Amino acid sequence: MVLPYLSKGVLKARLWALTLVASLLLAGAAAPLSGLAAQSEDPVTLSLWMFEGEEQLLPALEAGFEAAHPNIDLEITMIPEDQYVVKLDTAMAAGSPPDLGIMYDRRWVKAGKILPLDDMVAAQELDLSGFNPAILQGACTIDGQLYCLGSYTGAVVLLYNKAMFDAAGLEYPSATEPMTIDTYAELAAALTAPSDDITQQVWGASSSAPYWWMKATTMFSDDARQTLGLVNDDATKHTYEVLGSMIAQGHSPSASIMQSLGTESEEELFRQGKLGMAIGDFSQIAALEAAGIDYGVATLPVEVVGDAPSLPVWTDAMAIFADSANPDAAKELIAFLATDGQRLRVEVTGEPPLDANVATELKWMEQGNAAARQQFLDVIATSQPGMFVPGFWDVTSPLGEGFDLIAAGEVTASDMLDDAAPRMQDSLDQAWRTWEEIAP
Amino acid sequence: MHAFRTTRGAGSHAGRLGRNARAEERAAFLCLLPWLIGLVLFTGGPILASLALSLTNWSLLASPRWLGLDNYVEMATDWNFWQSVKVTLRYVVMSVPLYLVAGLGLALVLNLKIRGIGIFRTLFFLPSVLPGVATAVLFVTLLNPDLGAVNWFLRGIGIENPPRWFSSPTWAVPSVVLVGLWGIGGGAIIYLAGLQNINPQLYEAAAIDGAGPFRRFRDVTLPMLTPTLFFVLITSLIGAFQVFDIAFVLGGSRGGVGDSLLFYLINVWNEAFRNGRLGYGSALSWVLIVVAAFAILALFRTADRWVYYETDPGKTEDAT
Repeated sequence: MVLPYLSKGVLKARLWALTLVASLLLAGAAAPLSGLAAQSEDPVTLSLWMFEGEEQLLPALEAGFEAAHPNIDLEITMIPEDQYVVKLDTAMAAGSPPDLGIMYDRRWVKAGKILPLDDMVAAQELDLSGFNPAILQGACTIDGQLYCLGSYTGAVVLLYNKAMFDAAGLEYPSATEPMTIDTYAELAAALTAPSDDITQQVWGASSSAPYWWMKATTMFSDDARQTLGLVNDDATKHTYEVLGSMIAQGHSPSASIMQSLGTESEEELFRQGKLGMAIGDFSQIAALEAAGIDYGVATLPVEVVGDAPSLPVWTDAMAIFADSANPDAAKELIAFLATDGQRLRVEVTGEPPLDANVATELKWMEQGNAAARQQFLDVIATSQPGMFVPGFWDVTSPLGEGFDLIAAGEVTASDMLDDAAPRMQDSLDQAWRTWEEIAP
Repeated sequence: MHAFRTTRGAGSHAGRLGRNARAEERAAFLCLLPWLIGLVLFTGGPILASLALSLTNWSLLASPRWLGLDNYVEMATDWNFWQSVKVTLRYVVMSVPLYLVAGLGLALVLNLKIRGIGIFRTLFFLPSVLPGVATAVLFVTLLNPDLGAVNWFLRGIGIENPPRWFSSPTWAVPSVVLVGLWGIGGGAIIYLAGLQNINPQLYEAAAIDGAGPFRRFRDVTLPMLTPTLFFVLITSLIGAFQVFDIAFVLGGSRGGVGDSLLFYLINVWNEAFRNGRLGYGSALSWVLIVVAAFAILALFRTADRWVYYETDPGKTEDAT
């Protein structure tokens, strides 16, 4: 099939993929491919629904997979991420989902709409021992069964600009020992270089509502059924107050300032050398290193001393829909993604693979800032499977909106969280009811 | 009077259709049939289905489960429902009268017979053809609280703490109303058509009787324009109940800062598609339909008292 975005870079990526697959075959190094189940020669069209963010990898993946499976035509449909769940829900209700997609919502597993992959892993003899266990357990394993596999290790980490730390005479943050939110704010203040010209301003650190990167147990009970009294406890109120004051004091850029500067994310501002520390997505490593910033990687700040660090981790969790017309071919694609797909990923995007063994094999660390990449591996080694909270983004939505009010000085963190907590509890109760009503 | 006679004529003619006319009528219905089938299947069917769904719990992933009126009862204690009602009513109250008056004011200006008025009419109408999303993006930039042009100007004239517009729960709805002013050219064109339909002899007669500009506006323009005003009022009201795209762009799908832009349809969309509660979303939609229908019916009931139709025989006599 032909993708509608064949830019020069994409063509280059496709060539890369073809070259890689050809060289693997010629060198006899295609062991994972030779282990695949016997392939039918009947032509198969495999449909995969994806969302934005994988524009670099997908053409390479498609070319590589089709080269390895000449009878399979991979058709990729791009759907905006904010419509992804709705489109798939609707397609599943109509009984015509694609063969594969990203396992975006656990409801699909509970409703029996996703096929388990354990038999495929056994049949293909896939070695998952080097795969990041937190991702495998937290994102892909439900009730002991594996439902998805991916090709990279995504993580939210603390990035820091070493040159700015050196200039301010500050010690680098520890890779694995988390700092408290107060220390984070103090460092931000010390790194900030104010300027009347907004384009010359340097901010000490990024600041945002921490619900998406701080440990879920700071706002939910261990069974994820309670938030009232936890999301508005003193420690959480203090965290929101500190992070909000960082923006109010000009040590962190507000959302509207970022918008005015035309930057889409904290990572982008960090790459421009205008941010001392950024809590952000490590998957943009290629752009970061291309920008020439000497950076380090550390674990995320915590509410109080002694808290275990949290580290949101994920992958391109590809899964097969139960109504797939081509489940066997779909399994071939997932097997390819989890083996040669990881190698393609490293070659094309430079992102860390999901499998540590592949990282070693391809000398991923040596392909860029080796010290920072080692720190990243040290940091993600501490990651734990995330807590499952049904409807997490809807339950926590009052926090993101409320944080902007705190930063603007329109409300105190205490009032905002006390106001949000009962609404969040209602939403959480409703989300659990909806969850429990889902049956296969 | 001409229109009145034509209407009556058509009515009496309809009672005695000839063979050719009946054949024409059949052909017309035959041509309309594809549209009619589409209307029944793809509009009427889903509307009725949504009524049935509103009595169930349905998440798309499982079969609907009968709930009776539970979804409607739940609304009484649903914070998001009441917040969305509050936001939408606030917008209705602020926007509908403002757009009526501003549109009329603009139309009166555009009705002046001055040189180059065609250019002005085009310029004022142009913004209304811009898609809502593009308008929203434009205003997000203009009303950026920190570096936007509007606040830059306000600071320049000595206002140290200008509004934070969409980032402030207090100012968010007024800001959306302000954005809506951008498109009043569309309404103004309708008023303009109404103004140009007013018989100039009425103004001449009023002037001869000594009426000044204000009296002519009050006693000639306004009464003759009431059908247009009524039309714009009804369409504005419906539009105000249906705010979605612009609020979605300005405040995001979660309703903006402090849920200050949680318009009713945003809440319906959230419940149906984000929370996977299509039954509850359908119930919310039906409540909106019923409330909006009552509001519009109430307006129609008042129309007899203030809307003047030139073709109305009784009122025509009064007017003459």
